[in-house]
Amino acid sequence: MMNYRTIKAAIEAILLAAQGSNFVTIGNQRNRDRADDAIDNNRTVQVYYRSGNFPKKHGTMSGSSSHEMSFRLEFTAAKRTEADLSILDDPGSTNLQRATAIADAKPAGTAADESMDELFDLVYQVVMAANNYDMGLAIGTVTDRWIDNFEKGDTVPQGDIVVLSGQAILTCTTEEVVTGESPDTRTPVDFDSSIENTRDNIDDPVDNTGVFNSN
Amino acid sequence: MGTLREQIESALSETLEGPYGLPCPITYTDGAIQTKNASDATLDLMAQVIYETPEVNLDTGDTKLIPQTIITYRRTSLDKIPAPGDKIKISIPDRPTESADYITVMATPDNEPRHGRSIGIISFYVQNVVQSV
Repeated sequence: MMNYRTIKAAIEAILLAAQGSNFVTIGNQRNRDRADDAIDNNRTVQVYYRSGNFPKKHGTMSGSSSHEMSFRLEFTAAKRTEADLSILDDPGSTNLQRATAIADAKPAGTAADESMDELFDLVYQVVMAANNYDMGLAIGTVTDRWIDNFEKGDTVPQGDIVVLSGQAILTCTTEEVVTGESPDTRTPVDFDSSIENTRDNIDDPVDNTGVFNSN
Repeated sequence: MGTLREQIESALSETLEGPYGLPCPITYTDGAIQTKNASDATLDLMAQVIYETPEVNLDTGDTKLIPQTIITYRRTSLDKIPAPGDKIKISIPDRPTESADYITVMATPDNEPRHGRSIGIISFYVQNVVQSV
């Protein structure tokens, strides 16, 4: 199996180990789900191999090649509007208390935005931690690990839930060894014509080395 | 009977506040609660409540129902007209019957009121509210 597949699995394993109750890790591209599947701390991180480059100048015709990989980390957060219902639903509350509770209410879009900021913070700290430089693999398997950028999308209202997505690109480099097809082991042929073919015992492989000369 | 406009606006008392209407008290940004009709204080403040909204997927043309609640009031029944961006609280029955339990929904800047310039209605696209931490 090529290294990029092993590294992708390692990134997923690192995130799974760190997610706790803060987010959910998904190790593949997934079609869009229900908005409430990513609500609150069920916000998701999808990690998958996005693309790779094999620079010709860093490779050999036979043997290893440098593989510059890009992994996409896709984030999804969803939130509902939050307010102090203990005040708003209290028939004994005053106008001032209700006005304060309404003013302090956090629209779903704002809550989703804050949730996404927190999610990226958590994931970045895990992926870029010094002890995760090799993604838990043998030293030297992964080099030049770097998160190039993070981009947040637009909020999308889905009923009373607002969904927000974002993505980050994680790049790193590894050496891929090309094994090709399974080699077929053959006994090398000895074309040494100076070795006399005695033909005393034509079935004896020692007496029948070399090329038979009919002259 | 007054002008045509007045006749049309008065017809809203039947379409929005008649048999199809539900009592929906509203709490404005200043905390004041309105439970009675501003045009007739003997009547409860009624509104039309639509619990789900059809939405067309522009990419596929499919229509799906989304849980987007729309509450429509007759403008002359309100004490004041909330401005776009105002956060207001509305109490609505969780089912289209007057005996149902009431839940709290809010109109927020995420979805501003619509039809505010129509002949006499204003619609709030509201969101369910969860307790803040």
